[in-house]
Amino acid sequence: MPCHGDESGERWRVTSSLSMGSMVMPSQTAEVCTARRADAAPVKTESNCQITENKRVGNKQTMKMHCTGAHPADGTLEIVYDRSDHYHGQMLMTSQEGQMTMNMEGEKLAGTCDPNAKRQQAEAMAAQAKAQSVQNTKEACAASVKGLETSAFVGPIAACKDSESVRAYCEHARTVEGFSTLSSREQSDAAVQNMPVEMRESMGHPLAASAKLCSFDVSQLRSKLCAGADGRSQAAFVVEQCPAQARTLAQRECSGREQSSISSSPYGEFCGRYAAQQARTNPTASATSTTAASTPAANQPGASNAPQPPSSTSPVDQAKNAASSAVSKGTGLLKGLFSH
Amino acid sequence: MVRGAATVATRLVALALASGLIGAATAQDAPPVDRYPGAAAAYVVMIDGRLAWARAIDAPRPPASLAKLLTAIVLLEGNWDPQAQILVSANAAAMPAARLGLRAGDTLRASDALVAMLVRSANDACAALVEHSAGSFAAFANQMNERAQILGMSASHFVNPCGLDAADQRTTVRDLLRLAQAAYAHPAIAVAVALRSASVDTTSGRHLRFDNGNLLLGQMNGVLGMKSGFTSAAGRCLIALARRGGHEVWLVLLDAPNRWTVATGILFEAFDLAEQSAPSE
Repeated sequence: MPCHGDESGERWRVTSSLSMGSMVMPSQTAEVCTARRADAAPVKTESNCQITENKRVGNKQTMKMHCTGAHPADGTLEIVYDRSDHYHGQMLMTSQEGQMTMNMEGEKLAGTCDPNAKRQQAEAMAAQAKAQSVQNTKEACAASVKGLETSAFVGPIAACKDSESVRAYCEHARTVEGFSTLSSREQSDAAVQNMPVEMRESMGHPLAASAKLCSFDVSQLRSKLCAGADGRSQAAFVVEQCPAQARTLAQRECSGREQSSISSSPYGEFCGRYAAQQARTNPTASATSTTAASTPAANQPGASNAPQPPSSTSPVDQAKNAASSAVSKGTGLLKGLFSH
Repeated sequence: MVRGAATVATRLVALALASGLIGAATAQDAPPVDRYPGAAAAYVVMIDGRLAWARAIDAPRPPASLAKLLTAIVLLEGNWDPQAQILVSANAAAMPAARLGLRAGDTLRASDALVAMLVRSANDACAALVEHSAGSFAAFANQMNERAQILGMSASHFVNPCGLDAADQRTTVRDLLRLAQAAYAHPAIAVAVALRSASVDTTSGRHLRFDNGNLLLGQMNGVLGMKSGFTSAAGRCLIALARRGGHEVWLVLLDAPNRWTVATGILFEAFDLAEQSAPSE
């Protein structure tokens, strides 16, 4: 490889073989670039190894080596130059795995090299990795803003602490869509109890955690959003978050209408969601019949898909009767909605 | 890593721990939750292949016209000739509503009768097909029960091929879900249940037009159709299939007085959950 920049270094080819007890590893050869100094050591060292007490007396050079990382080790190295361009050496290393001996032979090569090239390359790679990491975090935070990943902003694994990300997250949380999303992720107390303690806030109560992070009052924000919500385009939010508004809208847009009329109106989704919400929260809202299948019914009207009123003894009527006695005043508004 | 595996895994754990909306659909083996106790006497919702929500999933119930899906399967898997001319008997012409309006002595093509049975839920067309195929309701019902067993509908027993209420006729929402999926695998059925309207011509020259009894069709984005039914014993029933945004939802409602509206809402919420549960990376 052609050298650029500082070409003051010496090229050495170093062959080393490692032995541990009776086990001898195959020898390896590497080219190293050494600074042209009297005490420079033409040996291959890893970036996590540090050389200390480097001394050269006559044709003998000694030094100590301390390596960190996954395989920490300490050692001493002694090399003897039999010529100015050739040496033999031995390094004794002590690590967790035991004692190791590395025998080395170095041979100076023709030409020059840049002794800083490797370090510069490593620094460039580190800088690139850091930049990539910053970019990854930025992208991940943007995705977390979009997906309202509360745990990325609150709690032990929160990584999006920068003001820009927090501001964007809070802006999203304050919207109808964001508020709905966070609210739908709120967990029951029982479910929260089963979560890791450190995750309970962000995972169990993301709306409350977001309110704290973004300094808003949940009730006040809900009221504000409900005031501006549109039952046509924000049906889910109105049904789930604005009960008074939803009741009024259901009475106006859904009650007493045929399905075809509801579906073709802009409030079709709202009426459906409202009915589902009522079926969720009110067990007697629609049907509770448990008619046994094997019970023959006399004078059946036959199978029909056309809307037709059930007979006076039908289980549906029974359910309705039961419902009417059990359901509180709000249910009255649903009469039209739940009957053909 | 912010939105990496750890975050997603934690979210999934939290979701799995939650009850109601989140719980059933994220835990593969968790029993389905009764999220809509007021929706129907019995129901099941399957989201992307997982039983998400259900009530009385194995309770015996009358099938009403949902039985016609099995009738269609038995017909199509028998000696089916779509061009065969079906003679309408007096018995078939006298079937109760829903009817196509066939008269005794009319003849029509088998494929037209099948469409009328599935789209209009026409009992006269159903009876004509059954009599043409097996000679009697009883003989055809035997074939239905054999096919039901093969489909794994172990809790079902059919007596009336058109779904009219009959003693000892029963099914469950679990079995009906299985039936619906098997039925939808037949292209002739899948095409028919998606029609908003259709028409048939009898050999006597009468042109009969009819609309699909499934009011969700064409009204809600993503609904591919299936089958509705009603008898006084069964109540208002519905099987619906909808696909949206790469997600698939099956819904079976038995005795749901408010079936159309509540089905609409349940389908919306099912797709909400499917979106929430889908991997976002």
